[in-house]
Amino acid sequence: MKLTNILLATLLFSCLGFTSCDELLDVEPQQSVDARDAINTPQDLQGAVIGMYSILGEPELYGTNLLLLPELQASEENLSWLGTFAGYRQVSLKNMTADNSEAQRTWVTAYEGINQANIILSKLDVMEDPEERDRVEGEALFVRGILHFELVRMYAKAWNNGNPATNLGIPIQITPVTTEAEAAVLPTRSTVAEVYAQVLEDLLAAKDLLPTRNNERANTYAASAFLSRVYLQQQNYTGARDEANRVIEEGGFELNPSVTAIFRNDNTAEAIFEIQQNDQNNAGSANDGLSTFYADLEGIGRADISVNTEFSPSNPNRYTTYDLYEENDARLNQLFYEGFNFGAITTGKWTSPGQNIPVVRLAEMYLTRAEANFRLGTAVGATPAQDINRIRARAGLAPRLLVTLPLILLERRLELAFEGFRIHDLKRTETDLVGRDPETGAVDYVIPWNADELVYPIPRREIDASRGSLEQNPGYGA
Amino acid sequence: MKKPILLMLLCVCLVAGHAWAQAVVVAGRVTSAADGTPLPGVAVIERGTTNGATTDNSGNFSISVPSNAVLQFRFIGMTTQEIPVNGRTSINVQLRSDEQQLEEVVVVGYGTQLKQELTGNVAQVSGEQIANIPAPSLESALQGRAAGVYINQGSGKLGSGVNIRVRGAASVSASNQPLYVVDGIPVTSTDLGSTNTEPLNPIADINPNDIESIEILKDASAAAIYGSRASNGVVIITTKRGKAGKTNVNFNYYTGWSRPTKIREFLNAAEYKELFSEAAENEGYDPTEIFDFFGLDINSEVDQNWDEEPFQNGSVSQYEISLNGGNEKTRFYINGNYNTTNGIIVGNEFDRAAGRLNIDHSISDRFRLGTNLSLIRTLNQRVSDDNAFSNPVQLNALPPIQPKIDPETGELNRRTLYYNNLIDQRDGFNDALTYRTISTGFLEFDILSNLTFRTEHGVDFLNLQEELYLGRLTEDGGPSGYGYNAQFTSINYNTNNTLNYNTVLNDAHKIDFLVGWSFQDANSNSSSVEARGFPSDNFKKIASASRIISGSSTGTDYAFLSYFGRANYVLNEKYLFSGSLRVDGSSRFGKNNRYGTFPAASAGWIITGEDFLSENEILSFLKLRASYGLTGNAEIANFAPLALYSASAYEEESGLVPTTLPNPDLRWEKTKQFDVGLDFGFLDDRITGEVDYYIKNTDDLLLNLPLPAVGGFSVITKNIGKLENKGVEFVLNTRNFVGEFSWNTNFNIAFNRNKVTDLGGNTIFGDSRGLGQIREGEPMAVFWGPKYAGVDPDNGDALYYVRAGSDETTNDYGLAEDQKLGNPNPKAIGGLTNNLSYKGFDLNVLLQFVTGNDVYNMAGFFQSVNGDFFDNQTRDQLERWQQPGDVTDVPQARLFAGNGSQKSSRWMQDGSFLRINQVNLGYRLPETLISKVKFASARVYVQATNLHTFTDYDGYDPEVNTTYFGRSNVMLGHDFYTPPLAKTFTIGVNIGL
Repeated sequence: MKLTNILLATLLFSCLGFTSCDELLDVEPQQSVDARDAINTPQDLQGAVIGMYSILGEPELYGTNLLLLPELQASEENLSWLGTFAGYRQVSLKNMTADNSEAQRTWVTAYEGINQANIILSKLDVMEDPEERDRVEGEALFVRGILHFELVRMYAKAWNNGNPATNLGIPIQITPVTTEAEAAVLPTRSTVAEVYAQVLEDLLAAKDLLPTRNNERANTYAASAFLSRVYLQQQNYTGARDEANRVIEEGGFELNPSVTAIFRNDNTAEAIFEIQQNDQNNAGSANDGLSTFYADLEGIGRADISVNTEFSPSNPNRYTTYDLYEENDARLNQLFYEGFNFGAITTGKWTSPGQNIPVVRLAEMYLTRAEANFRLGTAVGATPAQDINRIRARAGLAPRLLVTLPLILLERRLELAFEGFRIHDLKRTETDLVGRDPETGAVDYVIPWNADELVYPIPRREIDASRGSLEQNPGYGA
Repeated sequence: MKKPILLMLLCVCLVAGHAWAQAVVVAGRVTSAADGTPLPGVAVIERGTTNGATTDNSGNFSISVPSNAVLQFRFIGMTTQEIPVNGRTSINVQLRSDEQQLEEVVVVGYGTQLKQELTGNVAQVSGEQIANIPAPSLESALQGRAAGVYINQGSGKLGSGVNIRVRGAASVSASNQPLYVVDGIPVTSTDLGSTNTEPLNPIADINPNDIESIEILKDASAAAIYGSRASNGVVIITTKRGKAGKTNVNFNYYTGWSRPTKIREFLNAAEYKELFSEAAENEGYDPTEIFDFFGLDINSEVDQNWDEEPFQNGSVSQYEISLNGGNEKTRFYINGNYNTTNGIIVGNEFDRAAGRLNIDHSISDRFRLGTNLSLIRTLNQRVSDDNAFSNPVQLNALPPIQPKIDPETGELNRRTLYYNNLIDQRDGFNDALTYRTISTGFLEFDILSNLTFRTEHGVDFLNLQEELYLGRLTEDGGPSGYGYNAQFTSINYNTNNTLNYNTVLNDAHKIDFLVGWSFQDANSNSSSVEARGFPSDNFKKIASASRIISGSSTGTDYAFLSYFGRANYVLNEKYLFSGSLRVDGSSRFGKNNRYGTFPAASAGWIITGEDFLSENEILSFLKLRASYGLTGNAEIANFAPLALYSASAYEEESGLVPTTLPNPDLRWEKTKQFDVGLDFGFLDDRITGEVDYYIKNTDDLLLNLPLPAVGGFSVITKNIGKLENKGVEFVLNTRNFVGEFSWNTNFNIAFNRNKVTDLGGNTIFGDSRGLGQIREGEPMAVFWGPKYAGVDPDNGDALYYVRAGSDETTNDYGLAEDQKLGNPNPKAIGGLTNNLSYKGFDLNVLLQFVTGNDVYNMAGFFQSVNGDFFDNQTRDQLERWQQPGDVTDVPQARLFAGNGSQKSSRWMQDGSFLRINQVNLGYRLPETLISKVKFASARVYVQATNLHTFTDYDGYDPEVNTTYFGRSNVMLGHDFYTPPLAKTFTIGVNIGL
């Protein structure tokens, strides 16, 4: 009896104690995989490439901010931010603090995208098919290039503002980070010129590696289109003209018949590179997303942005983007509406959370080629007037017999309004921001194009996390 | 796995080394010490078992026990006595009325202990104290009752997460909430839900009236038996069990109504027009036009009082029937409880239906088994996050010149400055429906009379269904309706297996050994689907939607495997020693550091047991105790040590992105705690109390360390840094009057000082809108930022101090350096309870206080900012600067100009308060009256909860902690359109049959 008791107790007590209990603690994650198992096959690498595009589509990048912030920052004579989000409000009022939330999250996400590209570049060996390998390499270089370009435009002085060889740019990141030791390396800022050189190197390589067609992802013409943007920003008009011309001549893209098609339909003939979105996967419909901020439709959008119109009998001056359209311009009549809630003028470009976001479209290439040809006195591909009139014809406007630089820039402003060009164009054309009295049109204030407050702060968290290795931009404290 | 084998050997040795004690039948009589009358219904229990008997009408009992057993005599209102049998067959006992508070039994990890012999620090709250309080969750009923336990309900939302800190916060990035153990098993206490970022509180599922007692293990000696999860303290909840004897039937009912503790006042229409016209003119705008630009009519005749709209009269009712009884072989406790509470915030409702069946059965003298079964259904009709435009409290931002009802349509106005979220209430719902069972079963077996094996298996099964629908006219549901449905299932299985040996040797050495192991496996799964495109608002199920916009399912697990042991030794009833050891393994930690060892030791000296004090007439009890031990914190993400890739969708395709960096060395956070305490009793224990001093040092902090994001990762979980909590706790219980008029007072106060001593040179930032940061050398979540210096009397500019310690001010916000502004952690917390009774009347009053903490109103930037934007302003903004020479704290009103609008100490205030937390006045109907209707007892009462709050805080309620960014350790004491607590009045009746 006693013995059985003891045995029984021992048995009960040890029923798990002697089995290999340790295995009970081997629990594997279910919706993640360990990094060792993540990228080992061509298919895995393709997955990482899709993941890279998904980062590009985040609201911090092309999903919202890279298109919204350049318009907000140049809100004068353009639009008004009426929303409550303090981060955006600071951008539009040019009184950003170093902990501005938009400056922070755009930076963080852009470098996530850059690291994703670097990881892909470090795993190219898993790709056996050389054609596939080139394509993936090209896509990763494309993303790395355009993100460095966007960052240097935001967080550093413009190329034409002082000496780019000494002006501080942003940290260049061209090696993958997969361990804590690599992540803890303290970053330093390269010069603006070094960053542009890296951008050009990546995009030129991408242009060579990428195929002419790549489903709905970046192809060689997307790389050329971005190259034309980079050159234009550097006032390298030959480069800008030739890359734009390449896209127009070789790309097989066509202007859509209507001005609205690019914003209503996905992957139209005019689209060179779009962020793919649908109802399920998009940049957001409540606190993020272009339609969230811009739209004022019944049930869509918060009407945080209204388009300025100040033309009135008492103020017969036309200087806001909206007031500058000609009366019968299809872009005026089809791409603006009165908001549902407040009745304010609202852009009709961003009306649905699930719509694709055109990052580069053919119209920009015509406008770039026209401007570059004009400045260079050349007619590569077409005369400036021909290119401009192509855009005007599509908008239902009479052709211009004579074009001038201001007219070309005006056409660019009207065609690409609210698509994320304005502050970059103002900076490269060295045009100041002018704040006016809406009643009379009298000039209230002027913010010079090269003012410090038009450069974003290096995010406060980065300054802190890098323990002083990153230098802050002027005007944002230590 | 050497350790379990060692433990095994230890057990076997113990088993083999002792002989089987002989069984004897003990008989005797129990009488009252006061008047010698016999006491019927006294429970006579063999200690450490459920073997028991009950005295008959003459106070006689008879029980068969081993000859060396210890008998416990328990009777409500009487002090429990323990008497060793020592081979006797006749034992007569006199029970004293419940005055000897030091002889209470205290539940500790995996067992019970006499309070007198306790060497650790355990705060005890009886079920009786928290029963029938209309609190949203049982934790709130603990406020002011347990020394050193800081409970902040955060907001008046029903069933929402409560912040609890036992002796201060011990972690920077891991959880600071205590471990909850219900009837021996650790239960799910963290939120599973997904519709809100604000956490639901799974503890609200527990019916407070089922609780026999709550013990909060505070020091290392008490808590270390729970090893890796004990750093934040352990809350042990024990449910009621059946008592042999007559079946008691109790019916409890209460009902009442509630109001917010305070509604903050905003400008009326005339004041609004005045302030904003002035603000517009000061900036050169034409008021009429700028109003019009924002859709506001300056000539509006409307004077809408939006401040009242978020709130409603709440109501609460609870119905309960409970039975307990049984015989020596089988005892039961049955409870059925239904509580329905309508919150004070529009649309907020909480219903709980709970049933419980606890059974104990003795198969034979040596085999016992029992089960605790509970079934719970709770339905929480939730309110949006504080930060959402659909949060009703944000209605206070709407201009009073805009009407609630659109006069043209007669419907809710849809053209307001911000979303009129009353539309959400009308056309939407957000329900969280929980079905839950926390059930355990145990088997106990006496291998020897004093060696007991117990195996216990429990499961906490929680199913949460979230369903949300927003109609086509709502902000987030337009244009065609939005539906969301999610299912969460959490299965938390736990087994405890213990061997317990106790003996008294030579009448001098009382020995108690415990060894055991436990295993916990927790698994949770979720699935969700969201859709748009409903034919009309009459269709709310996703089946009717045209577009499924997302669907998802997820799963995650963790496991703990633990071995533990404890030894208690009492010498001559004077010298107390205790030691415990726990070895914990968890799936959450890297292979390199999977197991941790958590030892603790303590000692006590009952000084009054010594000859030189035993005759002392004034000092009736004095015990000195000290403890030291190691506990851990394992509350981090389930797979924190791994480098992980997760899926990321891009339109129709799914890609892979890295989400975390690897850290295979990740290990437990360790807390070393030293505690020294004194328990005392004076004047025959008319005055009793405790004083404790503790130092709690946490190192290897689990820290989400910020990385330069340039590398693609902005954070990594590491073991870096140290923090310290030290403090003093003081408890005093007095019986001021005894007899027909009785008056007891319980007072407790606790002081805690918290300091982050090392973060490896890092600073952790909270949300950029708030002030909270975690910095070396400062208390947790210290308020840090520019310091507001008032207003320049010459020009009305907002001023800030240039730097700390200097009087120099500037109107350029950019020049104001960040500095320490305040501390959200209270300097002292406590409570004062007075219980008075006279004849049939009893009065119970609880005052609760929190002092020395600061609160930051993050919404100040919108609502108290001298007309910077068109949000309605708090009335104090009327005090704005208007002309040179004005001396005020409110800068000149300047529309859109940002005059004093940036985050600063401007909206920080002292959050100290004293609250009349609880008042209960009851009357016990005389027996002569109720015996006619065959009642055994009947009591009626009126009760008020949060009756009044004394505070200097200008916001809604100083007990505030918005959690819209989740449960953050960095952002404490922030207010952001956070609804106040409820002030509740109830009347109730308790009837016993």
